[in-house]
Amino acid sequence: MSDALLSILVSALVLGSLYSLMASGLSLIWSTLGVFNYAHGALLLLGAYLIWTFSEKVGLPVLLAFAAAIPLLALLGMLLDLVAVRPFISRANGTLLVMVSTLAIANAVEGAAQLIWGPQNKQIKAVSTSTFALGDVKIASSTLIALALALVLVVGLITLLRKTKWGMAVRAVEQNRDMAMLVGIRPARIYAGVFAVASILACAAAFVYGTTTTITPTKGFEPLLTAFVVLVFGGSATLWGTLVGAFTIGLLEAGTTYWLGLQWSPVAVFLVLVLIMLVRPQGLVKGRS
Amino acid sequence: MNADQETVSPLLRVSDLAAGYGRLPVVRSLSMDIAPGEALALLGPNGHGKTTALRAISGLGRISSGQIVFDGSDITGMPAYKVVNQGMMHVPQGNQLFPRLTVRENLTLAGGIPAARGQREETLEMVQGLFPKLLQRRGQLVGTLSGGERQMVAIGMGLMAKPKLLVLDEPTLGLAPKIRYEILETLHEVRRLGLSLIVADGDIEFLFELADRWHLVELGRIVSSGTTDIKPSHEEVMDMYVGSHPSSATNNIEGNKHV
Repeated sequence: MSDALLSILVSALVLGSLYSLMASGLSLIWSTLGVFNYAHGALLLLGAYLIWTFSEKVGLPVLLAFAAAIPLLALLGMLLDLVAVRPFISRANGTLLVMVSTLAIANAVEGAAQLIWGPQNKQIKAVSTSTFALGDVKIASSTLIALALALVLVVGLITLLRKTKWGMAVRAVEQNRDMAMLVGIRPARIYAGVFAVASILACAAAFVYGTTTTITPTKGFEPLLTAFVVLVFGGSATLWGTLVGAFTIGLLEAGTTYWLGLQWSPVAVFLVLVLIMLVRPQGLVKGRS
Repeated sequence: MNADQETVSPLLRVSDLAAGYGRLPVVRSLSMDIAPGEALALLGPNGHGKTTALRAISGLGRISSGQIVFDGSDITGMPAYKVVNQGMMHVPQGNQLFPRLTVRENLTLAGGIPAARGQREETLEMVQGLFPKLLQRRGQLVGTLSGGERQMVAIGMGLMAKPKLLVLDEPTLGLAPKIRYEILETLHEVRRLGLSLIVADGDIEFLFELADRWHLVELGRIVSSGTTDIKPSHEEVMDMYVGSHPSSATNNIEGNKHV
């Protein structure tokens, strides 16, 4: 394998990890509540800044800073559900209202981040600077950590939904909200839990993002849009599709960046979005039903 | 049964219930009582408020006014996920379950409420004894079952919650006569377990076979009532459904095409 190909692969793994963590959270919210969370990029941003603050300002080791940010982001996610989703979702044009309210939150968070952390580039310290040599290409251990984090969490989420009581309740609410209430499930609690879980995934995405690139207050939106493409590409019916979609889009982005230049990667990604919508609107992996 | 009613305090008392969607009242001033162990039939044309009334009673629909007392406690305005724990289980039509969960998962979910959780395995065995087909189909997704099988799952789910009162909405809708008969037989069994029933359905013969008393619901009110020991004549049935309401007569016929 040529070194160019290898470095594209490495970069694809990092991007794929980031997108799979973002997209699986979005997918969970989408399938359970039927709304798209436009503030998911804001959660990513907040997660990254929280980890950065804990590590740079408080002085915690990076992994500990990450661990400390997780429960906080879960709380913020539940708060988001409480103020931007729950008041609107059961109204007549709820989907549209939630779109507006989450977009508003996304903008507000961006502004707040400008005020609190300023416009300068921030980067979270790498957990370890060690590298593995594969031929002439050095693979940073952070790449492997990102990959492991994404695989463990997304497969964990799939297992959670398939095998646990909570997962069955989530699927019940997703399939028939009224019937779920009739068998004693409280949808509001399920929604809060779904937002907490999606935020934890966003926090992991933030960790991957913040350790591999620099963060500024405007950088939440791009991964969100790409995660949206992943959802369309992989099909929102199963998380396996999301996983496959995330790494495919990651590979596409890494490839176009390498051969055509950075400015071409969004073009390629959205071209794929258009093509998929034309040719296979149900996504790569078709769900049951 | 009638003699009991006077002495035993009712299991469910609905007084002056008004409910509907938004500002449109569908149910107006509806009152009824159900004694423990009793089966009550709600008859009447579609679109006149039977489902709305049942949804309001079980906490799924919003109540504009009135009071609902179940088993000694006021449950007016209580959300559905709490009502089920009081011992009232509302079973909607069989096509409204969890289609992408298996038969077994649907049943276990219903048996998961705190009041029933302890005896879940025993209840599951009882339900599968009542509907042997559900045991055969336990791993199958509910969305892939036939209409009759889905209705069995629906009633099975009702039983899994160990209720005192089972509220059934249109249990025979879209089912072949033979399957209707099976459902009827099973519901007789269910009654022998001591459960009370409220059943709304379009099939009057089915309801008269099953229930002790009936109420005819028209335009959101109970317009007449009776016991089921006297079978109505064909004219009387026609009267119930086509109605003495000249203004709503065409509506009523339209609404009952499926019967």
